[in-house]
Amino acid sequence: MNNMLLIAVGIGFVYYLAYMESPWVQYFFKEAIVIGAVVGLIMGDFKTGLMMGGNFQILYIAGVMAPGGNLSVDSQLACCIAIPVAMASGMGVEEAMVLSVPFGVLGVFLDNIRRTIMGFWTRRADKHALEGNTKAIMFDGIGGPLIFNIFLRWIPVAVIVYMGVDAATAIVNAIPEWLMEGFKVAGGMLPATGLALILVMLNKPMLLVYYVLAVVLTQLLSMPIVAAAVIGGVLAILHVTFTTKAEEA
Amino acid sequence: MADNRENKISETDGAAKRIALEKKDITKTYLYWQLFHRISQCFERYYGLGTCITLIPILKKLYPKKDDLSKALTRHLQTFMTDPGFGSAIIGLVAAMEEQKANGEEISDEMITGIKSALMGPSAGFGDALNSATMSSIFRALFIPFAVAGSAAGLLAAVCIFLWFNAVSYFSIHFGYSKGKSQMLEMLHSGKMKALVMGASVLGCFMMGVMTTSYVKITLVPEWTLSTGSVLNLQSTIDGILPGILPMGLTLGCYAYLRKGGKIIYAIITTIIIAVLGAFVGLF
Repeated sequence: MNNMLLIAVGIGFVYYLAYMESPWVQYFFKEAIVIGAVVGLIMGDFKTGLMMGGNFQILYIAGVMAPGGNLSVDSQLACCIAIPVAMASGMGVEEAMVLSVPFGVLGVFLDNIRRTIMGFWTRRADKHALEGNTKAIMFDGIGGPLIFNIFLRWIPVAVIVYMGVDAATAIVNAIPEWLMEGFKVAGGMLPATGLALILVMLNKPMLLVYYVLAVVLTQLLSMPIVAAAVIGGVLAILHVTFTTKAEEA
Repeated sequence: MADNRENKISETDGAAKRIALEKKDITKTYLYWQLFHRISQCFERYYGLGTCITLIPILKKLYPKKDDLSKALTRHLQTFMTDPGFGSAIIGLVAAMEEQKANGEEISDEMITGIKSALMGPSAGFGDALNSATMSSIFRALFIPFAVAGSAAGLLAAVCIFLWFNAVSYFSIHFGYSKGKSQMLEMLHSGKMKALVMGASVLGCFMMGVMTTSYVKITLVPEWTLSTGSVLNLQSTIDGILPGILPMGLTLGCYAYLRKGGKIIYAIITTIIIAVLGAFVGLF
């Protein structure tokens, strides 16, 4: 039981880091691969955590920022809950991906709450600016939010993980076979949505021809990912060269 | 212009001392940007407070008098929202402007605020597209296979994203400090930048295709035994026409839906429902 408490606290901390909103920390802890690896480490199985994180990353590859920095899916909460639950209950990674979705939605609510309440610190800073008190402003913008986040991010996730793992294992065992099978299929299909989101964000419909080319090519030829990247890179250079020449002509 | 400012020592010739910013001031501000500027994000003013904090090292140096300092702090608490990579160029630019203002040049508060507001939009649009959408996705795509296979090399995805943003941000802040506003806008619209974004987008689309084959799994189950005794497998038949058409179709279908303004969460839920129902009736 004590072990579980430590694990829950650790995973809560991972989510805390994911939403610390400090760019340097963010570059690492917003990535599903990193979250999976660290969660795996905490739970004593680095490799499985890493593998799960890698799989989750495909669905959550787009970094899920809509214009204006508004969150559309909280992939970090999804990973922080679904990966430990899956690892503890022996759930497969596809089913875990499906499980992660409701938490992705829950996390968006959490973030909206956060950003509404955070206005408090900015208003405090207004007063401190009038006094020219830079130390107080630094606390308003750094220390204050970081402390606040302990209650918004760290503790709730730690609680959910602590209570959730056993409960989730029981629920998982109760799910009928056909539904589990359906989840497995869903998990295989979900990455399509993440990839589609990237294509939308790239915002260049004409370039979809390269998408189609890549699918057909990789279906017929198996190749290491770096080789595929090189081919893509060459095509990119050619495309730019030819279109620039066409414009100059 | 920039070199003079960077290397100048404060002149004491009886007249007012010229306060100069040194390269290390800009670098310190860069570090503040990388560590702090997003922590206090809120709906009302987004990264306003974070931007103010980022500029504190510079403002403290430029405005020893409390009155001037508090005015400067107040004007930098205003709404600010941009990409963390190229956005630091605006910070560098602001630093340059504040430096001129502190040394008595005619630069009004409105000018500084106006330039921040004018540039944050284009810089966000360009920066988010290149850094967050395209480059980050490419790095993830490159290293996901390693992670899925259990190799710690998968973590390099995050390392690459980290290094990329740091490089872009470091270059941007020093660049912004040394260039004027018109040059900045010119650069953002210049042919070279457009070419870079186009090239990255081609690679991005291509990598998404590679990922579709590797990770989007749809297998049709039905098969029938014909009267002749041979087996007709639906999946094999479709593969005979065009392998990978199902994953590609699913992805492009989602793409069409999202492009029309659909929400990602509905796309996800719909996919799950289709999958579960399909599995139930024995299609998948």
